[in-house]
Amino acid sequence: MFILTTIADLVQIAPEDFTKPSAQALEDNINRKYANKVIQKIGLCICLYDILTVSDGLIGHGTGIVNVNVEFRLVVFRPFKGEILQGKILGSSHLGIRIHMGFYEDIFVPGPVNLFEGSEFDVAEQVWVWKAEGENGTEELYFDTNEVVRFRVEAEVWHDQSPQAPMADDASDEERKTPYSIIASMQQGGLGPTMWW
Amino acid sequence: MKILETQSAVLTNYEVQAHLQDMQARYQAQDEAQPNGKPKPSNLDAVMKDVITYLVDENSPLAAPSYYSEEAVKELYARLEKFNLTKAELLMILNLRPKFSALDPIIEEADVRFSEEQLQEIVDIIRDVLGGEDVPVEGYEPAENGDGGSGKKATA
Repeated sequence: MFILTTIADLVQIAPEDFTKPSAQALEDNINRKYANKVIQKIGLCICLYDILTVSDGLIGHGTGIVNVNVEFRLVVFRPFKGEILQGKILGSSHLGIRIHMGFYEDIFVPGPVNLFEGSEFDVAEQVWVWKAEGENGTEELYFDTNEVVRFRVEAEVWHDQSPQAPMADDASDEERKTPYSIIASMQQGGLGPTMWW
Repeated sequence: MKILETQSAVLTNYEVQAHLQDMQARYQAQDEAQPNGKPKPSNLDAVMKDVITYLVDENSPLAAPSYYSEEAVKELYARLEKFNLTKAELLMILNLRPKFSALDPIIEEADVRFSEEQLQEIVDIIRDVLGGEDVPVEGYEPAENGDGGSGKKATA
């Protein structure tokens, strides 16, 4: 679920960071810009992994900022399609189940299409229930909140949040969409709450 | 910013955990050497804590005490080689440490490619190398300092 992505970027080190060792100043700068941020079509950046090449630092006119061209690799959260991951149920609604992984919580399992056959939403309890046909008749299995579940990554949805020119006819601000979310499924033996299997 | 290569490599959860704990130790040593120095970027601090918490959660195979080590990973790959599993399947096996009943979604067309005995053998190898819920870790005393590391992290 984690990958390495190679990026080239211009890092600007401000004079107040000159007291740090150069490598540390570069690392802090890169992490400040990328850690916990989503890059479109790349994934959720976690932190710097290593630095590959560094150019000489150049100081421009007027400021004391040192400009350095750096090539580096980042640890990125980007599960592949079909990957099985483990998370916890965050909550349920009639639309489906939301799952979180602690550092990432935009995982959604639409129900009942991506759940086991025979799953229904219990409105009173606000949970999804799988009515499994077993040897001893129908068994009710609950997708309780906070249950540890395994799920399959089915699709990813990207929303570019970079600002766009306002449209003349639509003055109201559109609701902010999550930049990167995952559509998942739980409809195969071995998936769903881990205690079932 | 220019993306040179979207996917240069795939990391296992174990590698990410090792890298993050390495970083954390480095920052800690730095803070001790220079108590008045600048703290690390807050966004980095938040995501590092969250990812480590997720990776060493009690439900995760990496939770202390863990069997994972560089040698264990190599041994697992060597012993599973004869089954011709794909890279993705091996990655998921390493990250999830599946039991027999949880193997089906991880291995594609498991019932066609392997017999029941072979699947059992795969699970036995996984248990043998990476341990499992019911396999005690040698030399680990739950009441002693074993979980001191995770306790420190929570308060750090």
